[in-house]
Amino acid sequence: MNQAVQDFIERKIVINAPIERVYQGLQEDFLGKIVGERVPGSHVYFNFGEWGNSSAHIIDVQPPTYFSYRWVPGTIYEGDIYEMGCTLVEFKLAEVEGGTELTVFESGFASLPAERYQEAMDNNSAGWDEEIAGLVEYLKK
Amino acid sequence: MAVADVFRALGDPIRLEMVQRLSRSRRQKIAALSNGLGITRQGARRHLQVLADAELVRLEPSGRDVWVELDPISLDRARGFIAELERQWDVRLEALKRSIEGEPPSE
Repeated sequence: MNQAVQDFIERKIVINAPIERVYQGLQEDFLGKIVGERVPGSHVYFNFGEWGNSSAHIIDVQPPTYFSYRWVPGTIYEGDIYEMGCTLVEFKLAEVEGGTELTVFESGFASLPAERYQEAMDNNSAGWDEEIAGLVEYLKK
Repeated sequence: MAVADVFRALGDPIRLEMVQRLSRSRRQKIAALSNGLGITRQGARRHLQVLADAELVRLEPSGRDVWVELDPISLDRARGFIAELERQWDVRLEALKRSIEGEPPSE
């Protein structure tokens, strides 16, 4: 449908450990904040302590190579994430030379609703010509 | 204006090219902006209206022509939002790597 804009974030890191260990570490570390059953279809929340709770919906679980959920990005939100607009966060693990490559792929930004993220975006004052060039390059990738 | 509107507005190769042209020269007339894109003047106006609705550009009528000027605020917000989320993921992944690699071997 839409070839010009890829509305996603992709980050990768190689961790010097077997894939099972990285999967387990991911579950205990960042995903360890999840309260609720980590099975497909489960409605859970992240407990971010003093920051509050943030709702999530577990989409798919395939140890040790894949885990995905939906949430409202860039904020703390407790409630119906589908009403608010949400992104899909996917963790993909693959065995590579030097250990395990862990990829985070967060997609669906174009479906987010208005007026939710202004504050998060309001504090950029650097030279904007470069920033626009950078964004256009990013969108053209 | 929200990041989603910006992405939607840029979700078209012609509009993306127009914004890229404007990022090189911030203020242009419609003819220069749409030159070589294979669209009519009316088509160009429609695309520009989408960009204007997303507050990516400002349209300034000048006689029979229209000046188009890039409005950096929305792009800045979209870029800032993405950059912040990327930074958060980098921090989380780096913390995970340190946590796993810092542990003693499990045997």
